[in-house]
Amino acid sequence: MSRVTGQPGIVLHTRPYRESSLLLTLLTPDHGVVSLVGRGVRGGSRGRSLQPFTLLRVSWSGRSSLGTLGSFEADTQFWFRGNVLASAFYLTELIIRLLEEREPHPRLFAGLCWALEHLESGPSDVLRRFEKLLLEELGYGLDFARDVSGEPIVSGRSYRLVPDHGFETAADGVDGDVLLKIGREAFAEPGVRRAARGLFAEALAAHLGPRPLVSRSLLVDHGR
Amino acid sequence: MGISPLIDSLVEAFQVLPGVGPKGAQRMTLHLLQHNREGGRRLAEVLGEAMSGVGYCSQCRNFSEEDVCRFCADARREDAALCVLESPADILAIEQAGGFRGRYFVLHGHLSPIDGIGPEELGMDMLTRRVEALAPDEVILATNLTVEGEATAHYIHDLLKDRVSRITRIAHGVPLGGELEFIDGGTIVHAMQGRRNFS
Repeated sequence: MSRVTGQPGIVLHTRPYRESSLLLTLLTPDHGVVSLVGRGVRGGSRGRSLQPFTLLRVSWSGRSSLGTLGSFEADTQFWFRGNVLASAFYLTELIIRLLEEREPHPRLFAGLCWALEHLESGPSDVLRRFEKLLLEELGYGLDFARDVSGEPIVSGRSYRLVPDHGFETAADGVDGDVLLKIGREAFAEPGVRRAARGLFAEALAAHLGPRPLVSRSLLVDHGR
Repeated sequence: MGISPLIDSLVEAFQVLPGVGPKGAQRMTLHLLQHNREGGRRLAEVLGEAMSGVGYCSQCRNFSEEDVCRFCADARREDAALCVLESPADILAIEQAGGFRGRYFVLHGHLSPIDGIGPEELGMDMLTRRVEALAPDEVILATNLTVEGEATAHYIHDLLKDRVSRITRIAHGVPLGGELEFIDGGTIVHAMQGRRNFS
């Protein structure tokens, strides 16, 4: 691949580079996470639209892992505030920490677009759905229909998560009914939301390693 | 493939400067050696002194070789307003523009989870202590109008909202001399949302 034109992309991160250039990381459907140098775009009016969470139509060139940004056009610019912004940073931090560069992820791209569009209306539902999709895309999707021994997960029985394997029956775990609801993405009940949050965090932690997610620290802890 | 090892290492050393590549560094090196050895000696001296002598102001985190920088030490400045900025260059920008006589606080960056920069790296504890000691009437959030600058402003707002009666954000919208036709959509949206009574 030496030249890509007109690919949709979402800006995940930007960083100043040299005097007037910008290093940017994008998520695209056909090329996954892509790092590009935007030469001379920093500071000018052209570069101002290259902010995180901007949906672009973008062209780039270059064979190496770091391509050169060509023409681009900003499509939609999401501008979040407060805790919704912290949630949006959480999504991009997960993607950058967990995905290999240059592996196609059309489903994840569509999922991120959907998440950014809906984040404002109900952050926690959106985050859980995105985490579920991300695990699936990484190849570690959880099976909420069957346990590790292949038996159907049933309501009234208790389960616990074995990261990267699935659920096994356990004395004091999560009720099968809750797992079935998470599987259907029915996050309406607070109990289901809480359980989903815990389970996905546990499943993702196995791949994130010991370094904590910085976006979590953006939610002001008034106890300090 | 240079003239001598010492010259090579000087050419290499000059390239730490932003915007200076091998060619420029070579030009600077040869210029100093050929035409201005005295200036070169002085540069080396001052550079050495500054690198070891300049630290951070204990009150506002601005660069300073004293414990307290000249903006914090200046008794004629007003304690009523504290302006929070991303970099020392922003202080210079505001000072050169004139019109602000309050105090400053420099974060030396913005929140950027992906670069691993969280609240601790930006001296938020120090900012809280500064606000408590100074007791300003107003805290002005003058971080950049970028996604990260906005995230930083929000974080500080949440952190300080119970400690200060008035927290303001610098205005953003149509620049002086700007024509609407040539302004990007995002700026127009902000300008429309942030409109003020015309008097």
